[in-house]
Amino acid sequence: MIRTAQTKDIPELIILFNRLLASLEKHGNRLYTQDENRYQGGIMAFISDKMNTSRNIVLVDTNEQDRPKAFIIGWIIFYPEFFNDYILGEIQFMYPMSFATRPLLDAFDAWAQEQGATARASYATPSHEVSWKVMERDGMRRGLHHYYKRYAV
Amino acid sequence: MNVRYAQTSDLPVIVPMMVKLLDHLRQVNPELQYAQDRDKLAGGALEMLRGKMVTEGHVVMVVEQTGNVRGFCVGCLMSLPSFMEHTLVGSCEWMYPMEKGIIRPLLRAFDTWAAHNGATGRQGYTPDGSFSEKAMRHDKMVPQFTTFFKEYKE
Repeated sequence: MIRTAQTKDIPELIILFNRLLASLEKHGNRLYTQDENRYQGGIMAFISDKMNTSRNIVLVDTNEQDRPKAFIIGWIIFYPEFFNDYILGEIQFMYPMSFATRPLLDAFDAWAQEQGATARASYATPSHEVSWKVMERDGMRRGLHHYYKRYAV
Repeated sequence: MNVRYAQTSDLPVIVPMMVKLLDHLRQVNPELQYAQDRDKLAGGALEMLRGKMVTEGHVVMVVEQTGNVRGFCVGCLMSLPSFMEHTLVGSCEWMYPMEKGIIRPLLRAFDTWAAHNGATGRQGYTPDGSFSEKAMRHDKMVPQFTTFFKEYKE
């Protein structure tokens, strides 16, 4: 069943989120802290904030015991008005990255459109082929590559 | 080359530059969703630049040569979740033109501004195969994410 996440879901969501980040790290994403306390605390704080902040959402797909087996975390973002679509539903994190998340995607799109969004945006780790395929098969078009550089201390 | 914060009086020069940049990016990647209407394009650019100039945590810088504005960059400070290694970064959002002699002084000034405000890294965006992608790789930036986009049908 698809529903909005509740406080009782946080322990399971943390486990699923850890699995997601571990998988992204295997695909070359090195943006996450190596400090274990900050890492775990940061995940909990992030999920909790997303559940309790307006224009943000955590949606879960649950099993027979009503426990989360998949999730989407996203928000409404605003682009400059020279874009065709300038109110967007942006998916920040989704787990698992597979075609089985289709009902979650549909629920996210419905929520985003209720908030005024006219398009959906999301990200993929460059070497994570499954997530590219999921997005491209869903008719998403590639926008920009995001680059990163650490400042020398 | 002299880099300084942009002022409202620079807008008549940098808005057309911003429109040229958007046209160039759309040529590189026709999938980019910029408005076709020229007035909407220029009006949106003007609103964005004016807003960035007066909003805390955002910056518009111009580079001058012999008193003439030759280019600009737009960016902001971006907070990231605390499970990331870097929780405050300078996001260099727009830069024009992508010429070596312009990029270097602008990036140096942007990095100084961002680092002074607590950022520990810089992020930037580029379409596939553009000059800016080459410039970012040359600057030892690492690709992290690719963005995707889909319109909702009415």
